[in-house]
Amino acid sequence: MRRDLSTILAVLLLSCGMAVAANLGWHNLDWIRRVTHAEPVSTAQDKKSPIGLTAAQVLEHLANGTACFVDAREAHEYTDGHLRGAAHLPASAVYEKIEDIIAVISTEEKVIVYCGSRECESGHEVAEVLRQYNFIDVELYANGWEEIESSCKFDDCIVEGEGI
Amino acid sequence: MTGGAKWVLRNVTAHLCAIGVAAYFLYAAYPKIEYPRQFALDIKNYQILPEQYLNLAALYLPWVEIVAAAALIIPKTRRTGAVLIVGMLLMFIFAVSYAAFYKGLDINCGCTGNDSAKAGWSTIILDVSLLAATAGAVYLPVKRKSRVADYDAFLGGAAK
Repeated sequence: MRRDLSTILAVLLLSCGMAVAANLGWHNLDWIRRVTHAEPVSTAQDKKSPIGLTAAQVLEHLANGTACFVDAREAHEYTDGHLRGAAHLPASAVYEKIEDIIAVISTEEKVIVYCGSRECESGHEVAEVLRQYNFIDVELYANGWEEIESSCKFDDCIVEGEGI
Repeated sequence: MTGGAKWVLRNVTAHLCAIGVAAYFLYAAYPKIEYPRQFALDIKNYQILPEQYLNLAALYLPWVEIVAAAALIIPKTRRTGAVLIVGMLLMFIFAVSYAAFYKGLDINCGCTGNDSAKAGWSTIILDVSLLAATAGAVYLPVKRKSRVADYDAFLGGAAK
C-alpha cells in the first residue's frame, strides 16, 4: 500500500516535471490565467438574450459581400452544406487551423461566425478565439445553420463540398 | 480447459487490456500536448473549472495521461497506472454527465484533443469500457503455481 502511494506520487511528480519542461521549451503559456475581462462572455446558455445577427442582416452582407463568413461546425457538416464563401474553422481544431484563416481573411475585415443552432457553443468559442487573434469585427449569427437550412431565403447561398 | 491454458488466456487478456487502454491514453494525450490552448478551450466548455486554472489543467493533465499509460503497460507499476487511470476516467465521466446531462450543454468532448465527438452517452460508454479494461488488466492475471506446488499436488493426487 505504502509502495503504491509512493509510486503514485512519483508518477504525479514526473508528469509535473515533463509538463514544466514542455511548457518552457514549447508553449510558454501562463500556468495561472489572468482573468481581466469584467464582462461575462456570452454562451449558448444565454438563449433568451438577443445575441448576434438576424437572417435579414446576414443576407444583406452576403449579397453585398461586406463580410467574411466562418463556419464553426465539424468537417462532415460543412461538407454537407455551408454558406457560399464561408471558411471552415471547426471549434474542435480552432487553434490548429486558425493560421489558415488568417492567411485568407484579414483581421480588419468583418467576420460573421455561425454554427449549428442557437444551442451550440462552437460559434461562441470560435468567435472568442478570432478576437484573441486580433480580428477586430467579429459577430455571431446565433441562429446559424438551423435557420439557413430551413429558410428558403438562403437557397441560392448554400453550397456543398470542401470549400476553404 | 487445462490450468496452463487458463493461465495463458487470463494473462494474455490482461496484457492486451493494459496495452489497449494505454494506447488509447497515449493517442488521446498527444494532440492535447501539441495544442494546449485547444484543450484549455475544451475544458472551459465544461464550465466546471474556474478560468484561472484552465491552462494549469490543460498543461498538466495530458502528461499525467502519458505517464499513467506507461505505468499501466509495465507489470511492476500496473496497479499505480490503473489507480491513476481509473481516477481520470471517473473524473471524465463526472464532467461529461454534469455538462451534457445536468447543464444540457452541446459541446465537443475534447477526449482525444482535436476530435469532433460530442460529450454525451457515447463518451460515457467509451469511458466505462476503458474502466472495465483497466480492471481486467489488474485483476485478470494469476500467478503460476511453482514447480514445488505442482509436485506437491501431483504427490497429493498419487497418494489418493
